[in-house]
Amino acid sequence: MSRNLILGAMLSSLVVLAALVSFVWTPFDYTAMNIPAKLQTPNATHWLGTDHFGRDMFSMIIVGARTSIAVALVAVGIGMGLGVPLGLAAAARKGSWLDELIMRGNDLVFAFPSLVIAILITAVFGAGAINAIIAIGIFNIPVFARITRGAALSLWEREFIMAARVAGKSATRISFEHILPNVMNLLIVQGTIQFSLGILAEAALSYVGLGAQPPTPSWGRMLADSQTMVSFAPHLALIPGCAIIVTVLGLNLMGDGLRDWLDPKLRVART
Amino acid sequence: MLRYSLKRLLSLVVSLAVASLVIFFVIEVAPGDPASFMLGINAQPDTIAALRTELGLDVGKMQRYLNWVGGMLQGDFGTSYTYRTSVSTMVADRLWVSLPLAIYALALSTLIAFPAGIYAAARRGKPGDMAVMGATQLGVAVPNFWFAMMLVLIFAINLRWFGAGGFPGWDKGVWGGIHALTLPAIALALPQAAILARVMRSALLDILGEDFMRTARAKGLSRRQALWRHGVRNALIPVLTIIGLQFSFLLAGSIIIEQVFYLPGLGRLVFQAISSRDLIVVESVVMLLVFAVITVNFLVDLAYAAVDPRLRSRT
Amino acid sequence: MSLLEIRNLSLSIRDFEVLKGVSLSVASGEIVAVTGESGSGKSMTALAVMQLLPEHSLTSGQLTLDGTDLLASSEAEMCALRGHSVGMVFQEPMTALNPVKTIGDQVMETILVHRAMSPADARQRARDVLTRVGLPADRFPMSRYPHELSGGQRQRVVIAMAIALQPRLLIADEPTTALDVTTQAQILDLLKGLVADYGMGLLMITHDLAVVADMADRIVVMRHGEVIETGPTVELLADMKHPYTRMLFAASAHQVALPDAPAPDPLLQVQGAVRDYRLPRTQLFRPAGHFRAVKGVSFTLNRGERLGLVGESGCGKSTLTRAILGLEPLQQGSITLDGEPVFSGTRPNLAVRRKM
Repeated sequence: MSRNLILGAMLSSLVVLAALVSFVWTPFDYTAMNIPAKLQTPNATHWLGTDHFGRDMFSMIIVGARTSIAVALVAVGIGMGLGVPLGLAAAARKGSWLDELIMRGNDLVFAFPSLVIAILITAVFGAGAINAIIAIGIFNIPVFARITRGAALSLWEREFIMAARVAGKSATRISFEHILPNVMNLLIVQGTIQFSLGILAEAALSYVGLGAQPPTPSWGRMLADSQTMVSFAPHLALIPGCAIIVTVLGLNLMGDGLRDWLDPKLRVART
Repeated sequence: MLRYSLKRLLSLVVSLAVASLVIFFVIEVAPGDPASFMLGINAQPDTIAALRTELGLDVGKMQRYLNWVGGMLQGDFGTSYTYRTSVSTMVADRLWVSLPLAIYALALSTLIAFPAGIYAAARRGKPGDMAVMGATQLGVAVPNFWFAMMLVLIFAINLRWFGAGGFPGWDKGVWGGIHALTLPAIALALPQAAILARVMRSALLDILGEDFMRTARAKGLSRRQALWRHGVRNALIPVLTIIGLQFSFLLAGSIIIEQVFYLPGLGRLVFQAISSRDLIVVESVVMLLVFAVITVNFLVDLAYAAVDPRLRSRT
Repeated sequence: MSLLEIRNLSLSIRDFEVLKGVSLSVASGEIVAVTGESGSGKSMTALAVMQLLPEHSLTSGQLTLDGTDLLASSEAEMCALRGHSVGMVFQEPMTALNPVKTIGDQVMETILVHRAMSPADARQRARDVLTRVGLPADRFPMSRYPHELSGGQRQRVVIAMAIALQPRLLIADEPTTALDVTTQAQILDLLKGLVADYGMGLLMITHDLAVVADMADRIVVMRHGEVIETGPTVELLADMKHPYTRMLFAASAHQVALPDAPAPDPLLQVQGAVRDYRLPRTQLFRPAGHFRAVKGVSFTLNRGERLGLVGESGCGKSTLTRAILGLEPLQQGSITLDGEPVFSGTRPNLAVRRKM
């Protein structure tokens, strides 16, 4: 196991842990305003200081972790849940109309960045965390579909798959019993990466107001709120920023570490 | 090559058509009655009826779609409900901020990433490579809008090298415009450059292991000559895909980063439109963004064929 | 003094001893074949001469080319030698060429890198050399790309690149192993012709003993990184001194003792099998063309019988085999196993397929 994997796993678990802990305990009520205590830099009482309304930054950060993780996780779930079967189907019926349809569909979704999808959905259905999940999730589908199809296609040429076909197995059974386990490693690594991208996307959407709405805290919105005060209270921007960076960095390191660790098996899936 | 280009062009047109259908469906069909949606719950029936006529909602959906597309092809994007001005004029001005910004950022990103990636691949495993890998690892984790805020803090507020925001307008001189767009472009470019550098490095490393690199050495090329003359050109193929994808992220990113720099781009236009439920503006802006992305991908496809001769002979 | 002198060459890569005291020599105009099983160190010897060894390699001993000590040469000096005084041809022609450069550019590159001629002269020399290796100008202009050539043709381009500057020594590492039999013969003839014309020394690495017997002036037998036996071809083949050499040559002459053929009892019947592939549409409104990969093949396989399906690459053997296995449909004809058809219409009978 490489250093990357260990360090990454530690950072990621730290963030997840913080999010879980926030369900049962936070140092202060994250919604409680306390104007006299506003704009404090980190100190003994308020470990990460307070914002312009006197709210405890630490509490807001760990509760915000919930939002980021939840949104990113479900979005990746959508992407994998729909994208992987599509990719498998496309590879199993390579060259057919189904394959063409899925590939064109992929290209179409790729033309709509998450932000644009979020704009579309929000314009009609209003803003909220659910819309962020849908927007990010939809964009994840072609990512997973394309990766799965690519890996599956090279596997279909392999002799052990030919053997399965000769033995009389149907394409669907082969896809699930033989192809899927072999692309699993690739998918785990990609899933980690998409998860980290999801965190960044959620932060961006909340920053412009298209994500989780108040009172649900979100790191992106904390950054938006801090903007006018950054010159005299930089900690308001630095702290949520670092939270994002640490989380994404941890996930990326873990993804790299996983890729190295699973490498011999990855090469099977890739060649 | 011609056949390939025509195929790609056809693909572009089809993609645009389908995209427009999707956008039309979400904006005009999904909310049920766009007019009552825009006016809100408390609106009077007569007002709604008047708006319906004005928007041309009386005709069937198919007709409305064709009218919309027909209008767009002539450059008419309708009239904004809130501002009562032609959407095309509003959008044109903003486009001249968002689009140059995205292109500026793309150029910067490529300029930084290529040398970094090549350098790292050439010095694989050595401290130089580690340094680049470390920097890029950090770079991809940084949200571009946060980075923008930090840049403003350091370079605009403290060092005063740049203004903290705003855009003077192109008519006041190209240089002034570029100056105003520089910090935003850097903020956008750096995280993307980190990604691109990694892709370049990994593409090159893959190529370096190929047989034809060994053949090149056997001919008498030095390591560096082999890297540049054979390695880099082949590595461009996977790198081009990423650049194409990057443009869509950069365009989306430029919309977000406008908020940090108070730039009069498409971002503010569309977010205000969302709050005021001005569906016409939203529809047009989204269509334009998608058009930009699809067009850039088409250009990347053409570039592919220029770089990889294998694509030219196959259809 | 020979052209190439290797004396007591030892090579270790990360503490693994790859070559142990290898000695051999090649004179101008001479063909020396290095042969042995896989892992005997043949290719490493060749790479050592080119000094293109992998990282963490430690060499000791003597390696001289025309009097120049190769082990003492700097990388820059080696670059000057490679392609100019010594050329190398590798095993895998399909991947040996850069896919995005024309064959003309790649052959010219050898010449231009050594600044041996002006670009105009280099172009002419490249054209001449390509014609010499059997790729005439009318069918193979210099603007061709590697993916437009077959394996044998690509190998010719690689040879052209290697001999463009008429090096004194040519090294060929399994140059024909990846090619089919007829092409092999042509490439080997080409190499023999070049040696005669240019007076080059040829160091040929091969595990194919038939090639060795046919081409080599002298043979070097290697095993586990050591030279087991060496000598002029005729003498060595007549009188093999080392038991390993004897075993090696005996193994290649091995004939399988087949049992007597039983009475004919048909098991697999292939009748008039035709397999067409649809070609991509070249014009929008004409129907797509067809490529006929298998043209009315018929044969019967009896129980207990061994049938060999032999032919060059591209003759349709794999296609036919896949059709027999039910993996690809036939356009005409039938295939039955024990009387049951492998296909009903275009769908394979899974029950029949499971019996294979």
